[in-house]
Amino acid sequence: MSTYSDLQLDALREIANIGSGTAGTALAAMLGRSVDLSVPHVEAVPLVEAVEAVGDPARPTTAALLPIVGALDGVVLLLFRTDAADTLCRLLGVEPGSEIADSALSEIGNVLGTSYLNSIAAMSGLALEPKPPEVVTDVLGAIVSSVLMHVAGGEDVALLLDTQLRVEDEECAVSFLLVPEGDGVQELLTRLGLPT
Amino acid sequence: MSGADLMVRMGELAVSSGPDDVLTSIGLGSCIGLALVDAERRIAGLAHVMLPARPDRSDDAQVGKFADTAVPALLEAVLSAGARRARLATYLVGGAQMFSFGGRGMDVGTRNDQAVRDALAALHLRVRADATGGTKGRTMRVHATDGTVTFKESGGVETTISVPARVAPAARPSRDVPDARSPRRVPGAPPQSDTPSPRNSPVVARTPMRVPGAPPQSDAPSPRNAPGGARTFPTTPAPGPRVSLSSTPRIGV
Repeated sequence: MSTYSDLQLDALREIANIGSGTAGTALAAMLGRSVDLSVPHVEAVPLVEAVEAVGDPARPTTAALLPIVGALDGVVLLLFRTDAADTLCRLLGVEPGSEIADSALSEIGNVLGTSYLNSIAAMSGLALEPKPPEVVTDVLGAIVSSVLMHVAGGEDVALLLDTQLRVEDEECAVSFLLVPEGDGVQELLTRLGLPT
Repeated sequence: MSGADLMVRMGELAVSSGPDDVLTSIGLGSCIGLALVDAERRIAGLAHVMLPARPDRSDDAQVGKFADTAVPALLEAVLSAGARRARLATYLVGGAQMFSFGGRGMDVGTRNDQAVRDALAALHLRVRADATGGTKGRTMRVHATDGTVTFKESGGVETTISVPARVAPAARPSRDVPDARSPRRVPGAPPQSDTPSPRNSPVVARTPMRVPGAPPQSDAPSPRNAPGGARTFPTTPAPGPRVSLSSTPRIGV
């Protein structure tokens, strides 16, 4: 069973903080609104509890997913409650639920995800290559379990780096999740000077 | 009396502990929900399978996680809970492909589906009904009380896939016979109107089996009994209504 020391989790939290800070700035620039950031939540959870650690598995959710390949394989996942995704579309001047809406959310995923990854890459010196984003609307459990299966299926523990971005004056929150594969986490920690 | 609502999370497997329990897996994406149900004994098992096979090097103790370990483990679990193997109905839900993962996905959903079916075939368990594939996540519920199995896609309606136990697979016609309205009913037995709905009748049917004065039960096995213990009633037709078996809809088979 893989475990991480408090120091390692602190370092990962700092990574998530800086990454999501950059992503939040990008979102604020896109919307012309202020964006608030939560303190990142970093947790190594047993795989069986990982879905509930993210949220209610039955909640209707829209997700933009960016696969990462390179020195760190994994997934960046932006999770919106479906009503928050609609709000976001409205703020961008796009009709919610339309064909363009998915495209707009995909673009938000792209901009936020790559800003997040760029700052992690700059900090760690790792070469990270994002793949084109995919947008899916389903219940949270189906989305998160399918991602975990792909990324962490062989592990017994999933590492979740979770930040909330909230658009000021709107009921619009985005949960920003980095789910790295196990080997990639070790590589990242080594670059940060905290090898296991 | 209401039973427990048991959540079966990723990689877990569970067996009902009471006759009114409901087993639920919320949001099966590429995972497979595998249910084994003995509707007559009101025992149900559900496994939330994540991956096709346990890696060789793995010391993962979670047998429910991998198809190759989950199928035998779930069978073992429902049998030790008292289910009869010959009566087990097998249902599969899930195995969708939610994401392509930039082409690196290799469609775990389809592989899971196939791996579970292979493992079932190795144990000679036949899938009675399923709802697998596609791109939508599904929530699956298994009701021990009457063996009903349902699934619901995100934004969709609850759909029943289970086939009432009374309707046996074509290979086992003898299982159709134990019915509440069979000729075994004698005066003084509970009226048929106790039966709340057709799909509950396999459960109710057990009650009037031991009516005083009725001929000996198949506990003394008749030569025509199926090897798996399915009961055969070689009685001549008697007056009284009989349910036409063909009238029962078979959904999603």
